[in-house]
Amino acid sequence: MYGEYNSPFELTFDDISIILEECESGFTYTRTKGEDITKKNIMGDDISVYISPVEPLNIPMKLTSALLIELDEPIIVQPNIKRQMYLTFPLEIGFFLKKQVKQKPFDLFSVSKPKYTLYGDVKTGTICKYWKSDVYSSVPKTDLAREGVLELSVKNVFGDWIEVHHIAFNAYGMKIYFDEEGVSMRSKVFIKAENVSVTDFVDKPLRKGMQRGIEVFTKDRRPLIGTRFVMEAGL
Amino acid sequence: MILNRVLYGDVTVMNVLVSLLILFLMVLIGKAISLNLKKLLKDKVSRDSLNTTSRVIYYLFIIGGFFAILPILQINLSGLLVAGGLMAIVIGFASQSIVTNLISGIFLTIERPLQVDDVVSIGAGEGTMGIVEDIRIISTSIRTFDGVYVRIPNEKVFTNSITNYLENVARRFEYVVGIRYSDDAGEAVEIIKQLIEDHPLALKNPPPQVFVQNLGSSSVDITVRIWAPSTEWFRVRMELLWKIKKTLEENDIKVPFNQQEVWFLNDLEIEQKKN
Repeated sequence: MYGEYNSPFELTFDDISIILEECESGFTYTRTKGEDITKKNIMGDDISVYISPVEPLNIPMKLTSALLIELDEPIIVQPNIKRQMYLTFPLEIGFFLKKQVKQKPFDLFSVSKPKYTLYGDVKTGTICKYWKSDVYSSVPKTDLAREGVLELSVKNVFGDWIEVHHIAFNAYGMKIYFDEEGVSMRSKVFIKAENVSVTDFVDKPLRKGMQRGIEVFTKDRRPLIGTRFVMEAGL
Repeated sequence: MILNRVLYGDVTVMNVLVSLLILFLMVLIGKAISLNLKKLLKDKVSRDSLNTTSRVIYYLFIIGGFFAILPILQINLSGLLVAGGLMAIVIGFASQSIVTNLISGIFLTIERPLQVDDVVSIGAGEGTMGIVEDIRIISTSIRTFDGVYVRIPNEKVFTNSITNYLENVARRFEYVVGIRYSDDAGEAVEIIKQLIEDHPLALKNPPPQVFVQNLGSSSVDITVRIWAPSTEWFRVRMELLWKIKKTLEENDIKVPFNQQEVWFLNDLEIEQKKN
């Protein structure tokens, strides 16, 4: 599903069909979902397309770089303990032209329904992309086009029990990996106080042999931007 | 030769030309550095901070050039201080409004009630409403929504009330949807809630509110309160209002016309005329 494709090709993601076919000036890329059609003309002789899952913060617009995952059931964490659990995250799929110097997708789409929320108050809070996930103790089976698996390593360094309802992440730290079985990210959460925690990502695949996805939120244009998300408005 | 002609003291025409050249070069270098800095840091620093930084660098070069030419022109600053004191009083009176605007500009930069790209309204009532294009040392320029350029002196900006619509990250808006008494208000509330849930930019938190607020003379009034990102609220407001109207009508829930029941004390005698 993800990886490199030589033109021409036809693909289907859920109810979305994608066709790259030859035309006189090069190639025509068509994405169809019901009556909604996106068409692009690509000029070139021999093109190959790389399909990669990207950070789920581009659709419907690049409004924020924060993703908030609300847990379907809250988790209560014992003090001074480190445990792992698994969540799901929404997927966005990017189409890149191979050998492109700047890796900017020429098309992006998602089969998941986008939604936004506010973390914190209206004055100092952050607009976040919203996703609700069940909490799993082992790697869940997911739809390869719709959801990815997020491994969460929770460490409670605060000296009291903490109830976690939601976790926010920074897209600039996301490291997405994929293989034929699924898409994944690995993250860590440090609970530092009753209402304060820090989240970050680990640049390692969930399984051996997974390929690294292409990043859209790259730090090269904004070197001062960090990769962590500091949650100071409650967990 | 004309270049060696003495103008005053030991200062020749050549000295004046060299001084002008130095000043010109400093202005040129300052402009080039500030422009390149803008290009280089365009994506890395906010437009507002970048404008201020590049402007400070530009003026530093001009001031540097000014001080560099003083020895060439044999101008003694200590002598200027006495004359400067007198001049300052004269200039002070003459340029009172400019200084007021300048000081207001400095305070605006420190207090930062508005920044470049913010949507603001300056002045009482509707005031001047638009997008802040630039905050200069003397004035602030605004592009109104109908594309008109407005330059407001900083003194007016500073002393007037400023409404900044993008200062907070989220903003709430409200509709009142009137439905007929014969319609099911509960169903209407559920339909509206679902439409809000389906709109990506209608925020999940703070949660929206949909409730019957008033039993009006002609309609049951449902109040709808929705939070949206401040940058997108107008778009969400427009899109959802139309969707709510359309979807309610598709479900045979209609917005009624004003109605009035009239009772007569006596029975009415109705005459029917036949053609």
